[in-house]
Amino acid sequence: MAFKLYVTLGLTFALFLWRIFHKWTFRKLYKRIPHRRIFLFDKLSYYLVLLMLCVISLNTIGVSLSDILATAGILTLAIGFAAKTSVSHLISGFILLGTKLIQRGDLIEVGPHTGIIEDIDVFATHLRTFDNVLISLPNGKLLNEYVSNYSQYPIRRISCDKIISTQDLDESLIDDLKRRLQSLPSLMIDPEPLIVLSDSPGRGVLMSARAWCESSMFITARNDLLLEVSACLRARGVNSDAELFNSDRPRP
Amino acid sequence: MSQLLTQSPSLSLWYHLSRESPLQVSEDQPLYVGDYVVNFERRGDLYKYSLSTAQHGGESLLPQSTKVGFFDSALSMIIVRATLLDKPLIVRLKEPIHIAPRSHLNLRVSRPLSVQIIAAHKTSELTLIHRPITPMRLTSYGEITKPMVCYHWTSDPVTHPQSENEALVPLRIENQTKHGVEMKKIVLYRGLLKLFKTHQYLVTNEVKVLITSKSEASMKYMSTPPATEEKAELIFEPKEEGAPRLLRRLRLRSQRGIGVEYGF
Repeated sequence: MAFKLYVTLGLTFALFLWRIFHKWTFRKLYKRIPHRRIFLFDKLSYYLVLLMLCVISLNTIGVSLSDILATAGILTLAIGFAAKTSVSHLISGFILLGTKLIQRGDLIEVGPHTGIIEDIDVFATHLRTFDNVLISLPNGKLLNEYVSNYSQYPIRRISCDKIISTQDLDESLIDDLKRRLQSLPSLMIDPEPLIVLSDSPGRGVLMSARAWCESSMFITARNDLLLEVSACLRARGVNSDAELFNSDRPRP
Repeated sequence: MSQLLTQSPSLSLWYHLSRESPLQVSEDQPLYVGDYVVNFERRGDLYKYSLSTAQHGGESLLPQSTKVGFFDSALSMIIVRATLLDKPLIVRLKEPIHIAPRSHLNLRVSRPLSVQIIAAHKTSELTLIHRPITPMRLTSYGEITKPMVCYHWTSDPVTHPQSENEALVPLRIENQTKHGVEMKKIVLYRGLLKLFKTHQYLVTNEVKVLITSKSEASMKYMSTPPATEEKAELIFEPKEEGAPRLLRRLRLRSQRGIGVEYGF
């Protein structure tokens, strides 16, 4: 009895030491190597050692390894039925970590939630929303949902759509707007801003101003784009209120 | 002996680099470097510093978090250093240059620099500001999914820098093909350039551009400026950060800027 107690205490101490060593090692590694490269290794190594300690402890207190392996199959089946959802989340977690579709620090949108990934655990992904609320999304759910990752690429395209009347549309408006957008510091020079026109029957012309920016400057760039397009239209006396161009309403 | 900061606005980076003695922090007189002005204010044992743009009025270009800061009043000396930009640079030539088949030409283009303002006392140093000397626009280079975000710059072939806030980049361009080639822009990787100070201006190490086909070129960064630059003193050399030696080696091997298709 005393022996078992010592073994339990010893293994608990070993687990404690392992946790300290693991944290210390990975804290050092995270400083030197990009997070995404070692995140999976970090999680896998932690759980692998935990599993090994469990097996050793069981073996030491008298449960043989062959018995463990023999019962493992039955246990797996039982656990599989009992914790089907958890196992699904666990596997999804490893798929997410392995495929690198999302990473810690990414800005993502999942269903109604938008936020920055704080951590990807084996069971759940923790998302911090912009109003500072931590949301835990089960990994299985994350894998089955449509996920928009806004941090995947370093640059993004932003656009600002306005409906204008066909009478207001001329080449000089497009040139003027393009020139204004080219001088905005938050927008990229190359790919250069583009103005796309498309017909909006009964309402006028849909004018879409599109430009590229660095992903980290998305909000600033989008605000700048919207302000500049509005300023340009205002300066030229162009009304872009879509409601006014309905066919049954007179043009002001 | 320390000198008080000058009152004259928009002093060039070259002016600060050419000073023989360091500056003393002064509450009354702001520090002007290129387009920026830094004000100091004593708050007990601390100095408060604030950064704004002197000429462009482009307040929005400066992130809010780096505009204002504090440092220990013991760090009363100000050092101004010139460094290279924190991102790669695309130098677009105002007029494309035609390079005849199987020929070479030597030319120089100008490039902007970063300024580093440091509060110091003996061996202690604190970097207050480290940013491009003039507000820069961004552009992208490469594939849309893996672009390289670069600063954008326009230059003509020059013999001297266009302003005292810029440096020269000596280029040796060799066209090995049977066809004439037009060069419109050049991409300069930040990690492979060094900065030297001659008695007249700042200059980087020489860059050799080897044109191997109509759309491909390889670039080689020499370790020094051309021999024609006299008494070039090394003032800035980029350091590889962070990664262990093995990863660093792997990263260098795949570094863009060494490979083909680069520079045009």
